[in-house]
Amino acid sequence: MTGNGGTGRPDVRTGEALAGADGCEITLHGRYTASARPVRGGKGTRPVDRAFVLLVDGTQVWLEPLDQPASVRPDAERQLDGAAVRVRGRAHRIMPAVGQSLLAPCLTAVHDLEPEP
Amino acid sequence: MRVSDDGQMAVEDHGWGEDTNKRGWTTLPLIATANSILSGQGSRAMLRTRPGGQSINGTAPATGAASALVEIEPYKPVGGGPLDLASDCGHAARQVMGSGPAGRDVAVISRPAEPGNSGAAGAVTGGILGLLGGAGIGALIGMAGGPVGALIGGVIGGVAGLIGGILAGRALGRRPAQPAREQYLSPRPYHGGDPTTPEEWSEEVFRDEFGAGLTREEAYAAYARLSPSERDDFDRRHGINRYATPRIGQGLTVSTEKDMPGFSGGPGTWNFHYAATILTSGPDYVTLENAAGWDPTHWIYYMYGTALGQSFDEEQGATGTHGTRHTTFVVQPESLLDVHTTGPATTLRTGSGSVSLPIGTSLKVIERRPLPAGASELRVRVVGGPHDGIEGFVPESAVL
Repeated sequence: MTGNGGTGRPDVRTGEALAGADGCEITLHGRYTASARPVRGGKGTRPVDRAFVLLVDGTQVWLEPLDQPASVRPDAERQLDGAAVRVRGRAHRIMPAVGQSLLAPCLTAVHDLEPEP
Repeated sequence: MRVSDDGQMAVEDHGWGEDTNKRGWTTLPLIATANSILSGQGSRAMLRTRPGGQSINGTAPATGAASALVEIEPYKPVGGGPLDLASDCGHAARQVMGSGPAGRDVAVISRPAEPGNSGAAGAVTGGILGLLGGAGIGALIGMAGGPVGALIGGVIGGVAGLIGGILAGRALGRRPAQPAREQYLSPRPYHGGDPTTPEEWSEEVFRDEFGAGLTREEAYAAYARLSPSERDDFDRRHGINRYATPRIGQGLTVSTEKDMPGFSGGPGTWNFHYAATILTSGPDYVTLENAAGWDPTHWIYYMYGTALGQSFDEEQGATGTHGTRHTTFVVQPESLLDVHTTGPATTLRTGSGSVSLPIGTSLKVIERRPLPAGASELRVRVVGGPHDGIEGFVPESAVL
């Protein structure tokens, strides 16, 4: 975790920092990565309509729990694929899914997603 | 194809995955048994002979006995159309078990029968300690009368200590024989997150064994500290992990134990998996399964067994998607613990005698004990009415 840039939210760049901010509003910094929904034992190809932010240490932070409608990202976001971004939301060490899910960190109530200046 | 040891069930085997195993076979009596249970639980799925299906003949792997099986298909007793299950393993299993949308489930702890202990070992230890302690104390007291007094006092004290030690040691070491029995952990709603429902059951069973006052971390650590043989004994005594063996209408869940010391996983690690049992025969069982993100009609059959390496726990663990630590429980709807008497005068056997219960008396099941003849009896608590709160035993066949 580093400074908050005057926003009152911690700036998070690593998985360890995200775990330390579990449940808190944060600003996450990493590389936007469009992805199909991961499916255990899945068959065939699925639409690339989900996304995670890839942190510098390799941690994948999913944008919204994968069994929630909000995890289907707007088409317009796809243009950010591969770009360095910052995004705000609530940090979760473990995705707060309703049911079966990846054991992975997640950002909920995602907002203010934008390219890094 | 996987074939049960007794040759009474067979399912396709194209590996565990979405839409892989869609064909299954069994006997007409097993279909009837399954449907009786699934229907009684309000399951979304029942079984029938597949129209135009292919019958198969063969021999039972275990005995070589001839076997003829009909092809089956699952169907929806309500609504018609092809069977579809929720695109989530837990929700799908709960549909098949008849848990209901808001119903809670319980994890099942199956304790094997345990022989009694006469306390002989405790008696020997207690006797030796009593002899030494009594002799020493007697000698000290007898010293007032000089060496002879000390000698006499020591002998008297030693004998008294020996007798007392034997009796106390025997009493402390004695353990009555315990029958095989099925008990239930706390009813819980189904959820993912942190912790998940199955993780909450893990914490509960570890606390039950290692100490109710332990924190979650301490309870997990206590199990993790067990040696492999101690863990296997723990699992056997609780009917968990590879010893978790479901009946028709029950399910299984494997919990990824991310908080257990020694756990490691990767980016492809999942929080848990559930499956519901639709057929059993001999040591083997067949499940219906769906999973997160699978199409509703892409459910699969899967056959597991109780032989080493064949259990749900071992098979799912071998997929590599539950990390290095996982716990498997048998689960069932909480509603199965709410029963009522079906006869005009059901005898409730209590500790002090018996009570006659009228038809329709509501009971809460506390424990299920299989009997040698294949039947079972239930330890229950009366709910409501003049006998409210009384506990005792009723035959399982006397309630619904």
